[in-house]
Amino acid sequence: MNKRLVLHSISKIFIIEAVLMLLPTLVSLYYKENDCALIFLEVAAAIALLSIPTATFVLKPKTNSLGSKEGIAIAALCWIAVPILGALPFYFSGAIPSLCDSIFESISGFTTTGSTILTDIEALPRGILFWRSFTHWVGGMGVLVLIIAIMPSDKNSSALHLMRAECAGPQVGKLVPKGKSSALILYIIYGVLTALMIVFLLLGKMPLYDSVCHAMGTAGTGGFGIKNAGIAYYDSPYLEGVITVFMILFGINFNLYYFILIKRFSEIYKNTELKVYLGVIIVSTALITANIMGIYKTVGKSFRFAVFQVASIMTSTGFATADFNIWPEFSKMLLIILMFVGACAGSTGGGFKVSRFIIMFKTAKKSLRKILHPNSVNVVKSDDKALDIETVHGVNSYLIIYLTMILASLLLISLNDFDFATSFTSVVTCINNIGPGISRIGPMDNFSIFSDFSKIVLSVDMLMGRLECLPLIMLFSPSMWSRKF
Amino acid sequence: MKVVIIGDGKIGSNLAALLVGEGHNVTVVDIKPEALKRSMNYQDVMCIEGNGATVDVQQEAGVGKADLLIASTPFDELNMLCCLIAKKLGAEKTVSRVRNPEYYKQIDLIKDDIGLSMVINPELTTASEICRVLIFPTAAKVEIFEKGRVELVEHKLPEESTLIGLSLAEIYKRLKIKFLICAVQRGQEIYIPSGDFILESGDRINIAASHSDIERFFRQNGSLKNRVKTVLIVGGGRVGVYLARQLLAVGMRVKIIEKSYDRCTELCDSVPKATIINGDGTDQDLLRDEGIADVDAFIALSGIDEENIIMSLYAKNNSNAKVVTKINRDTYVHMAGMLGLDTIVSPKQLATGNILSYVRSLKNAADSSIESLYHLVGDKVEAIEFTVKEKIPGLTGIPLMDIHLKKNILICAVIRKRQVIIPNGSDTIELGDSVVIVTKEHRFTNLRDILD
Repeated sequence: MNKRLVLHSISKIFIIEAVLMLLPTLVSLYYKENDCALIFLEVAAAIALLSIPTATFVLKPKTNSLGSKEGIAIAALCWIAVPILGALPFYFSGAIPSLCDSIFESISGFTTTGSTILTDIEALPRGILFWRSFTHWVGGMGVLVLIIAIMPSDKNSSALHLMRAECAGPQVGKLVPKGKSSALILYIIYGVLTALMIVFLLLGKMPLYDSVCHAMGTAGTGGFGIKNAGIAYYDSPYLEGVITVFMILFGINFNLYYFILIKRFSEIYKNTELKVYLGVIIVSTALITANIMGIYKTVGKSFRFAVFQVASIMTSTGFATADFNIWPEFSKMLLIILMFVGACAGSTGGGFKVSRFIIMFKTAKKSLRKILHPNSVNVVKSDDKALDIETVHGVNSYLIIYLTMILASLLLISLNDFDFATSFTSVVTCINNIGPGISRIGPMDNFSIFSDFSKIVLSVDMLMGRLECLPLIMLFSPSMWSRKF
Repeated sequence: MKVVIIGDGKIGSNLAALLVGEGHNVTVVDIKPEALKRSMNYQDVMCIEGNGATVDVQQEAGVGKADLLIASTPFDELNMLCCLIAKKLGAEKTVSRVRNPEYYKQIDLIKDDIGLSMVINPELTTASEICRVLIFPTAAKVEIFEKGRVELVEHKLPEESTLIGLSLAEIYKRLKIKFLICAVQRGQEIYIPSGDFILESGDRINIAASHSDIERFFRQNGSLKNRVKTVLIVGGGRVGVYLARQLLAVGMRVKIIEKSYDRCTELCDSVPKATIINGDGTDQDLLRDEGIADVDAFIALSGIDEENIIMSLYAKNNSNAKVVTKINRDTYVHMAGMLGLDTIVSPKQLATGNILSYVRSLKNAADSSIESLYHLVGDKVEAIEFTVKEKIPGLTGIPLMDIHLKKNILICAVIRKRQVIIPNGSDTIELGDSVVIVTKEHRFTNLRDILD
């Protein structure tokens, strides 16, 4: 592996991160939180000072050949290092006194999980809260995609190797022939949708600062709020409606927005994943609405809470308007199932991804057919196209890795001696990048109850979930690092 | 520019890499996922799996908005169908590979109907390249204009050339060939010569003329001292047939060694003037019997690179013949060079090179009324092709000698109804003509601008 190139690329990413930190600096200055601004500035300067030499002359790579090995290594290392550096402002500003907690919070931000260890969010400086939400926005579409979009492109296919390692879903492709343009288009769509959401929130009389933070939290399907009570603080059906719609929008494959832009509507019409995704949301909402009617009395109110929560959990955002801990067991179970399903591939959402489920169900159906007609030839198709057998195998192996990760984490978390619901949902919510769980980590609670060890385990889970396991696991493969073979 | 390539084979993938290198947006279509996987992993292109001759696949590849479609599947019929469909969907230009000699011969008949902008025949290109090497070894072909009707050849004047010391006007009068010296490179200086320009030894001249006139030019001005008279070709494939025909046409004697008896009988039919030998070209006794020691040129054209290299090495060591080796694989080209084989032709590279220069000319022409634009002599001279779309006072309908051109501009060819006119002072430019002008430094976008 070309280690110099990997380190060189990562130091470039650090510089970008330092530049991104200037944004919260400005926010802090605007709100006259000078201490906070100074911290951001110092951290940014320190990162930049340390990485500029390596990014420019110290580690100049001998060759620029970036293969899949390098792409995976860059993605994995960058996703470990970037959140750790991003945790520094939390720690040094004193907003989060423990380093372990800071890192948990930062990873939760970048991986767009939205689980927090903070008990009193409103006590934090506005600059820090802005940074917290901003990490969602950057982590949602991806740090590497940002790098590809803004850095000068090279001529080989390095962009695709990076994008493959970072983007979610069983099949990662490009929108347009050039990797750089593809990344740029994704970010433009992302940016425009976010801006649109800010405008809609402003129309609902939400203050500008709150609108921006919530829009970024929604766009990345993150879920960090800036109020202790979450979205319930505003108690406005309009705002909840706007957030619900945009959560659902950000959970859709971004390729489809591109197809709208280039007027290829037939692609959208025949997209199975979108149909299933919307179908699951509608059915779950209906079931939960009926189920929680006993608590909220009116259909309107039940529907309002149900649809928000379904969208929030399914897209892996994790905002809450109601404490679903007090909901009937059926609703809670349905929400846990939705956690596993997750959003569409190619969106900013987490989870196992609807498209993987579709592929697995279709494969299962074919296998069943094979029992009845042993000589039948079966091809799994998706959107009218035969699926590569390797994609199908990839989904199967991803499932087993994903389940193994969940089981292993579950065992480690159980050391805390919490009840089953707490332990189980903490792992599920982290690996699927959702945010809240059930029982002691419900939407109105937080993760401060866990030991430092558990926080590290959960942090790893969040990273695993965001990068879909494989890049991080590959880091531990010896052949990844060996000079030859 | 947006380019769609159908067929991700040798030429397709090579082209894709080169085009991406020049900054174009490339989409590659192939029916085989294995080929695409390779492209996807090593090139910054978009890959689409499917039959490129179907409307659905072409639409998915965005052919309708493409500036250029290149069809390079192994099947000529499929290539032409791809281009036809692409044209219907709205692709600007289409290039098709047509290798079957029978199809290629009749391509002019249907070219306009199926909307082909360019037809690429790698075997023919290779044969022409070998032919050029044999006829005028000192020349380096630069560009082809007007779809092959005009060639621009760069040629270094030999020490003893009879042209040295003569002004161009005298040369034109003496040689009676329709050609034009449109740029002269002397040391670091570049001149766009007028009639009173006098050639010196060591000059590199750029000559514009039709293919046959260029041959005559080289023959007449005596730069062909060791003229090749006998040629031994090993391998009677398509390249061999094209080459034999071209060589026979300029009066050389050709002997072809071919392994397959059936193919030999076909060759007897298609190149009746050549001597056809049935045998194995790697058989050294056979080569000796057929007089390898005495031939002027030995061309290794078998289908197997390794055999070609071995045969060429044998020929190199056992005769004084000019040895030309055909090599398909890129990696072997370099290795063969190290073994001392100096004249190597690669059909793949020649074909991609041709398409690439076409793409470059398209790109240059994209934002103006220019038809095509080529850079000559290391980008210092531009050759620009215009179409005369309107009457320009002071230019159209007037003998060239009466036109007041800016300095350092030369009208080097006029194309009227597919006929090339290498103009002299009495010719005129008419409405509807295509005009190729050669110029230094200036970048013209309109034909009017060349007037003083």
